[in-house]
Amino acid sequence: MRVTSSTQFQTTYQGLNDALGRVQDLQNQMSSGRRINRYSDAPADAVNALRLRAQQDDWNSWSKAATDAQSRLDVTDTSLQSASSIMAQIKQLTVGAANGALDDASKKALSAQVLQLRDQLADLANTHHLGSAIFGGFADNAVANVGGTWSYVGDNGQVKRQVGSDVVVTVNMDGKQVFGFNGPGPNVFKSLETLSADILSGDINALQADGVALDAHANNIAVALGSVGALVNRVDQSVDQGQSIIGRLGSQRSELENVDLSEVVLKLAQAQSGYQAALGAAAKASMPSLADFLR
Amino acid sequence: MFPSLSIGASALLAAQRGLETTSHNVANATNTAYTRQRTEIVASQPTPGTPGMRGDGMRGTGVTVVAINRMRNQLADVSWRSEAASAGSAAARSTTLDRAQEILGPFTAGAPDALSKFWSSWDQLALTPTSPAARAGVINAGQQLATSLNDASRGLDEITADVNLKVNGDVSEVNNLIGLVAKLNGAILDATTAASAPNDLMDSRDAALDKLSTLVGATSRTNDNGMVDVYVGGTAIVRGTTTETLSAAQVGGLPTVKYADGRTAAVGGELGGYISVSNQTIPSLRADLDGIAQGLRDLINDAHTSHYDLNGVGGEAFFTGNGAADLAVSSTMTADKVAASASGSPNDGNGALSTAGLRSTIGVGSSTVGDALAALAGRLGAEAASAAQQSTASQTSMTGLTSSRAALDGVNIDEEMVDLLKYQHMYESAARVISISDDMLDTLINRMGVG
Repeated sequence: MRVTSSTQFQTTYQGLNDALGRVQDLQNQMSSGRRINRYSDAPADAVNALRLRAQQDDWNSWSKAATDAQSRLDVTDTSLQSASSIMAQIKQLTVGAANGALDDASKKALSAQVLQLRDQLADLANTHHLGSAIFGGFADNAVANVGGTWSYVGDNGQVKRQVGSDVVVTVNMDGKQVFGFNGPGPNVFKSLETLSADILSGDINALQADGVALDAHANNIAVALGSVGALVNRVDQSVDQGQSIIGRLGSQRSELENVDLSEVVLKLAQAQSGYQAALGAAAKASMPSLADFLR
Repeated sequence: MFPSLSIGASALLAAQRGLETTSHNVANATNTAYTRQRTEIVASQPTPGTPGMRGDGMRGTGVTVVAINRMRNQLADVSWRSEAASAGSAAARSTTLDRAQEILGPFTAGAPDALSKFWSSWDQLALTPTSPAARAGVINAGQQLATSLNDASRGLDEITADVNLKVNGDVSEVNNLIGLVAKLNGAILDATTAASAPNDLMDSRDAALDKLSTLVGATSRTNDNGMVDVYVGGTAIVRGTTTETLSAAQVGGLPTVKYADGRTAAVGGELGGYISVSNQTIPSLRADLDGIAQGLRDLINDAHTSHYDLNGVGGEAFFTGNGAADLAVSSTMTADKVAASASGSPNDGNGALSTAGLRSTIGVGSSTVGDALAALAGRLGAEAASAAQQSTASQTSMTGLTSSRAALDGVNIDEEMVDLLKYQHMYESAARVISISDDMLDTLINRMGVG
């Protein structure tokens, strides 16, 4: 093929341009640390990376919800533990009172102590976490004493937390159930008031009946503790799973999005020497022509 | 003896003409539109000689320049121009689609990111349904998301507007070029009838035809009289010295090119590339984008109107708008009016929880909003990447075709230098012939019969 001046310059220019373009691409990848800077860099990988990123965001939200669930369940657990120990204390008192060898002053003191424990239990029933009552559904309080009658003022609301891609857990305990508001007998506060009166009167039979009723109430609280424990396990499991999934998504994403630095460094070195070769070729291409040798 | 004077003179003239052509070639060595020219010389008409006389047959009378030819191959032009049309189209598609992939924002923080943040804001609201910050966060994230879709739609509008401008510009350039071709046709015809070779005019015309093939994918046919007719999509836009100008029009906001008789022109080349992008690719991208905006709006609004706000009042529509262009968070939306409650109780975050769960609900065609958005992003990337690839491939084959065409019609300086030497020597020798003849005449006239 005949070589002509214009093609010679055109090929030289094209070669330089191509070589410089490759260098620039790699420099871009290296300075950004990313393989994909625009969707067209690797369309299929870009879509996968977007999906992974969305999943990562989802799991971050879910693990935040799981952390919230954990702290809510912790508070519930603590309250129920305290309630449980109050119930144990009351049981001891009841057994002591049923022995019948108490003078009036002791009876009075015991009776007053029971009422105090009732108030402590009522406070526990109205425990708040971040502004809402943990045993009251969505309501502001769980129990209230209106005109001497104890009633459940909470609602049936279920506080739900999504802690995994399809794991939604209800993280509140039904106060009605826990404090005996939906049983056939009186609620736990009413039972304690009866106990307090029976201690004063010293009626052994009544005290024994009170003991049976209070055992049932203690059992309700123990059952609630058990379900909280199971929930805590479940949420903890979700948190662990979430962490490992977030980690896995992160490394998958990085594999798609980020450059392998050593590979890019190597390629860049290659591209640079290619560019230098093209420059060298350009310098040679504008070698002297025959015109230089004619006088 | 006397003929050698005139023979020498003819050689002097031929050498001068040859030198002239060579210097013209050298002068245009880097002119890409230039076609190498060559001086064609033949031996002059010989004298018939005197019949019957021995040794007095036909005798040469010197040299004549018969033509100065253009070294051009029509076949190379045809293949160059057909590839130029596809290269023009691919380049136009590539530059337009390269811009289109930016409409969703940068890869690291664009519309898909805004969507993720929107879902997360509902997650947060589900945890703290009474928090004013979480409520404001939902509105904020909703606005961000709406804005990113608005921007995408506006990006497509801008591309269409730009394409319209470019089409107008290209059409007027095409009309200028066909005017030029028609004018050159006339000049070439005149020159040919006057028996002078209009080489440089033909170069200008070929350059115009090259440009026309890149711009509209025009093809040409050379007539017997040396004039060329130019066709676009089978319709002649230049016939000899008359032109049928193209015009740019907008049909439904989309650019269209029309023939002089009002029919829609089947254009190729750069114009064809622009028109195929703006009339097919962009509208289909816009349909995808609108589908996403509508799917999102319907999903969120359905959920929002079935839940209750902070005051226990049923939720209003969260998003307003008909498509990606005008999607917006309702102007009457306030933090208190964000519906997070499924039961009406303000502490209830289950409404927000189920709204956040819409991220995995089919809402756009047969996919979720997030997947549809990711698919659109992928489509934008794939369209841009394949257009760029096509353009690079066309460019590469253009480079090959250009150099193989230039191999024939381009100027090689070394070759011209050799010609220069050749004509120099020819001139020197012819001058020598004349001076020797002169010496001989001198001998004959001045020396004979003297002393």
